[in-house]
Parts: sequence; C-alpha cells; structure tokens
Amino acid sequence: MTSERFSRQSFLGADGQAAIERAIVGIVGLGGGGGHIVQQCAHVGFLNYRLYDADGADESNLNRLVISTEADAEAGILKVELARRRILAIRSTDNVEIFPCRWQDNPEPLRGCDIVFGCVDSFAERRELEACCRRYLIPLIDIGMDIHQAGDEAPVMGGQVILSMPGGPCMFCLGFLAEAKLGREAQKYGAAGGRPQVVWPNGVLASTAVGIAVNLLTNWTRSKPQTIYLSYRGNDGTLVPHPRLEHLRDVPCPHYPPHQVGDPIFKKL
Amino acid sequence: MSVHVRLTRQLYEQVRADLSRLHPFASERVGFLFAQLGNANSVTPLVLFTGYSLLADDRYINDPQAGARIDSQAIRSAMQEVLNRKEGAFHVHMHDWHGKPRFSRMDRTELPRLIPSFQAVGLSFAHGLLLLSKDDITAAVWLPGNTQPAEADHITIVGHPLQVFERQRT
Amino acid sequence: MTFPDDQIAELKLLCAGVQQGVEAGYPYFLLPALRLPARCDPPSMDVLLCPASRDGYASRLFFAERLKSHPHLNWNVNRVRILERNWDAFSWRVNAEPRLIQKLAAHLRALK
Repeated sequence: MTSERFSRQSFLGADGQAAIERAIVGIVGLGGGGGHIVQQCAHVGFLNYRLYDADGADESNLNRLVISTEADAEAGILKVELARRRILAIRSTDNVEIFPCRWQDNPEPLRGCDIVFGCVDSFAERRELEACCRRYLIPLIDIGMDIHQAGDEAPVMGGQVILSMPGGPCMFCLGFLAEAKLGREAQKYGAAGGRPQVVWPNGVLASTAVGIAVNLLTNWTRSKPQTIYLSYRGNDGTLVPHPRLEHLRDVPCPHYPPHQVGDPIFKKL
Repeated sequence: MSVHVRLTRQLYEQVRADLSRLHPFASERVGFLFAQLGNANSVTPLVLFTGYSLLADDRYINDPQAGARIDSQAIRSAMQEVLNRKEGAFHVHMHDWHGKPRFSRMDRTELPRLIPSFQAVGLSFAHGLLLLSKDDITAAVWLPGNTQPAEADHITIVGHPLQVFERQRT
Repeated sequence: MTFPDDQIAELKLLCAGVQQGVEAGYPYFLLPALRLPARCDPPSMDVLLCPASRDGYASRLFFAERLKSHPHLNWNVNRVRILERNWDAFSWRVNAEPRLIQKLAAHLRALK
C-alpha cells in the first residue's frame, strides 16, 4: 500500500517522507487541538508518537474532539486511547506510546521526542512545557485558542501558533508569556466553568502546526529560518504573523541561555 | 539502551564551517564539542551539545600518516574546558565524503585514548567522539562510568531544517 | 540575578545544603530537607524558594509535597514542574522583603 499512499506529497522532497518517518513526535494534550494534530500526523505519515493526556472523553468534548464518537464519550474512553486508535486506523505503526497522565508525572519519554506539539490550556502549563523542551533541545509548536466576550459585544475569538525553537526567541521573548498574564491567570485559579472551545479554529491552528512540523523536517518550502508566531483572528478568519515580530530584537534569548540544557545543575553555595 | 544526541543547527554549522577550513599541512581539522547530559539515569540518555572550541593551526603536529594529529597542549586545553564548563568533551572531525561516516582504523585505535583523560577531570559527564561526513554524522558516547562507548542511535540537528539521523540498533 | 554573599550566608545558617538554580530567567534556591516549623507533618522537606516576582506573587515558596498537617491552606499550585521536579505551593502573599532569609521566613510564617 505504501507506494501509492504518499505519492501526492512527493513535493516534500526525495528524503521528505523518510524524514517524517524517522521523527519522534510528542503531543501534550489530546483535546480539541491535539485530536486534530494526531489525526493529521497519521495521514502525513508520522510513525513514532508519544501521547500525553490524563483525561477521558466526555459529552462536553463532543463539539470538538474529532477523535471521539458519542459512544466513546459515554464510556469515558481515555483520550490517549482514542488518539492511538485513530492513528492505527490510518497508519500501521508499532510505535505509539500512550501516557494517560500529566507529562510532568512521566517526563522521560517526552524528553526523547524530536518535536513536541503543545496543546495545553494555560499560560502556566505552557511555561512548564517550554522550559522542559528548551532544556532538552526540543522544538515546541504551541497552539491555543480562546473566546472573550465583554458585555453585550460580539464574542472575540483569538488564538496562536508559536514555534519555540531552542536557540531562538522563547514565548517570553515574544511577549506571549509575561509575568502580568501569569499573575492574572493565577488569580483566576479555580474559577468555575470551562473555557469556550469550538472545532473549527482548533482545526485551523492544528493544521498550521502540522504544516510547520512537516516543513521543519522536509524543508519543502526551502525558506530561511524564521521566528514563527502566528496570530489567529477567528472573527475574520485570518492567521497572520503577530505584529510583535516587527519589534523583536535580534538578541539571544536571555531566558534560556545555551548552556542551561540537560538535567538541572544546582550550584552548591 | 538508546543514546540520543542533539545539537542546534547553529552549532552544527559552526562546527562544519570550522572543520571545512584548510590547514597548512593537516588534511583534516579537529575540534572539541562540549555537552551536558539529560535523562542521565534513564534508558534513553541525551547528550546535548552546548558549545564548540576550535583548535588553532599551531596545535597540529605534521604527521603524514594521519589525517590530523594534535598535540598534548590541545588535549590539556580540552580537559581544562571540561573543568571550567563542567561539561563533557567530544572530539570531532570530518571525513570529506557523502554517506554514513565510519571511524578509520587509526581513529578507532587512537581516539578512544582521549576518553580516560576526559573522564579523569569529569567523571559525571558523558564524553566521546563525533564524526561528520558531508551529509551525515555519527557519535560514540562514553556515558559516565563506562569504559566502552555506545553508538548514538538517534542524532538530531535542532533548527530549520530539523534533521534526524537514525541508526538501526543492533 | 545575583544575590549578596551575606544573604546567602544567612540561608546557609538555616540550611547548610542550600543550592542555587535558574530556569526561564527565574532564580531559585533549593533548601534540601529544610526543618519546618513545629507541628508540621512531615517535619522537614525539600523546599524551593523563588525570591523573584512570579505569577503575581512577590516571591514564592514551593514544597516537595503538600503538608499533611496543613490541608486547610489554599494549595493552589498542584505538582508544577520546576527544574525537573514537581512541586506544590499554597497561596500566601508576602511583602517584597529585602533579604532572602526574610522572604523565606515570611512564607514559613503561614505554617505556624
């Protein structure tokens, strides 16, 4: 079957498919965004997966969890099981490792990934995941969306796709993470209610993230390395480079200097 | 056990650019990469390169039998860097052809002799050897406390493009 | 971020094995097996002091695990990963104390 399967993506280059198949991808969060990513990765031909999510499917996910059926939600099937099932239905592989837990509770497999897709819910979680990926020299592709509504005004839908590349600007450098935002988020800890989430922006952001990963591995666009921080405006359906990029200073990232990699080293005092 | 090696593309290209320079008499150049260890106590240790030291032209010994022969001062300097950086040292050189690089007979005889010196000043670090070809890379890694190397079976150049070199585990 | 030697010396008096780390630009002091105030269970524990502003707090103290003796505290940080370990922390706002030992003491006051 494999001779025809990828014939339509031969533009990725002579070694492109092999490069995709060699890579180990980690996906943290198998919800609305991660579900799309897993599915697309399988279609594109990735073979090696490390999947993290502690939750099971439930009815509130069904409006957006593309890897789940009604029966799955009723049964509360683990999202990582659903993801594995979807991968294997599309692409036979022996190398789908699932971790029905927080990545923080079993981090070693994640450190072995070549690329990590971050599909987590909070700024604080992004900070943790980015710190780990920087420490172990792993490119992190982060996606997320949100919907805000002030009073009677129309809801505003936004989102982002960020490539945090070791050696390049981090999410703090890009202004996406900031102490003020983390502080406000910490204040709201425990506030009741789920955040608004819908399927179509997750699809846009996830597809873009997979495209970034494929380009990283195959270099099919033959483009120069660049900082990727895309801002999604759901109200008008655009995904554009964030204006912040115009003001990005060409200095090394001060938050993750090159020598601060590997298992942490504490200085004895 | 599966040993992974990673370095940024920026560092990789810095190394390639240096090793590609012509030397007045040596047919190959040598440098030293330095690395931290990650996942140290797991079945998938990670060697994560942080920096590179090139060798000045006058650190080479004119030996027609060898692609490159370096003097004892070069080795002492590398050992000092292990102490200063608190990182492992990897001898790196390049063979000027395509495909998977293979250590020559002389490489296999001579280069492992460096490792005990590095281990003497940095017992808790991984040390080793890196060999580049025009389009490939291989690494032999002495994990802390080991007298025998493990071949890295997954080497990633981290950047754009992201390049993964994989070896079949035997 | 550097800290004066005399402030570090004060921390060492309290915990001889104190070590310094940094991650994402935040400085940290690891105090292994710090003896906690009386009636704490467990009586000693690894703690991690972040003396810089973090998440809207002037400083933050993280614990290797929640104290069994103090379940009533608002443990609003649940297994956060810092420097490749997981930590818990309760919400406790302290003033921006000038010295490291004062920052630490201000947090430990919550346990008395």
